[in-house]
Amino acid sequence: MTDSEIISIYNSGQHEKAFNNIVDTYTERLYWHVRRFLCSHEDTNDLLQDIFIKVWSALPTFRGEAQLYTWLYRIATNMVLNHLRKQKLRALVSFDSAYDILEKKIDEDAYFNGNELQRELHKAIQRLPEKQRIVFCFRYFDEMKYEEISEITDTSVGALKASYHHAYNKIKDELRKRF
Amino acid sequence: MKTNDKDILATRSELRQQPYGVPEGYFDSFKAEMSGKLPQADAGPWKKSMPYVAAAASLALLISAGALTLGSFQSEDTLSQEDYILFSDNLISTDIYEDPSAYQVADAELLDDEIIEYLIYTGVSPEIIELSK
Repeated sequence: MTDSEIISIYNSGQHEKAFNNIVDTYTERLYWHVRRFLCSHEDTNDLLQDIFIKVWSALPTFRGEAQLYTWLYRIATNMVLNHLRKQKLRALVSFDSAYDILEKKIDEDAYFNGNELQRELHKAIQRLPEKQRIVFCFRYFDEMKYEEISEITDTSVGALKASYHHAYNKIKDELRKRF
Repeated sequence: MKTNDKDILATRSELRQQPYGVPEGYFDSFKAEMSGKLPQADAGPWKKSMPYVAAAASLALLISAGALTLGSFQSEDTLSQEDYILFSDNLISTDIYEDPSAYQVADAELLDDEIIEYLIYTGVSPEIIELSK
């Protein structure tokens, strides 16, 4: 179902039906977006539920200035960043490393089906600074346009291009050392 | 095998693929569960007034608890000053410390979450804390 169809269902007063269509259309896309940052299936599942509950409560405020999918990704990305900040603070308070926690999650993930190179790539992504990590995932995996990422992250296209360039080279160099 | 001069991110196509998996039937069950978790949007007048009823009940409970506590203080006041002095003489000074480790354990359990909540509330970023370490 297209975004405009979902919006017209919502505007006709069938709020729950519109929401169910959002869940149907976007569950998988948002799941993979979140999973790349959180690494573990369990954490992703929990956060995805919170994201959809947030979407349900925020739907009445959606005015249609942005595209629905941009709006959904913006909510999801903000919630992912909040989750990661909490995780990082929790790690700092307990004198642990947030990166070590995520690396452990990748290593112990029962649902990781990739090869060693893919494992190292996803570990390297977790070592990137927040903004570089976001732009790298959107560009490299989803092949999203800079203009769309700019709308989601509220960052200029120029800054995003620079961040992607740095992230790409860092990861490329890191993988080159090992493979 | 090292591929020194190659751009590994561009040449190895599997890198763009999803290496993570999900339990079988996960997405279907997620979608079904999600619709059951929705808070009701079209709540009736009773449901809409629930938060106010709950607030009023909490207030009533607080007032009752306050009145009871005040009552117990007042009953202690009925003791004469002489009784107080006699009673305090019977207290063993170490009693007030009881088991200090019990308090320390409770503090340690609460501490991390309290600090995290406070840091999130104040908007301090993890990066700033890392720099100050």
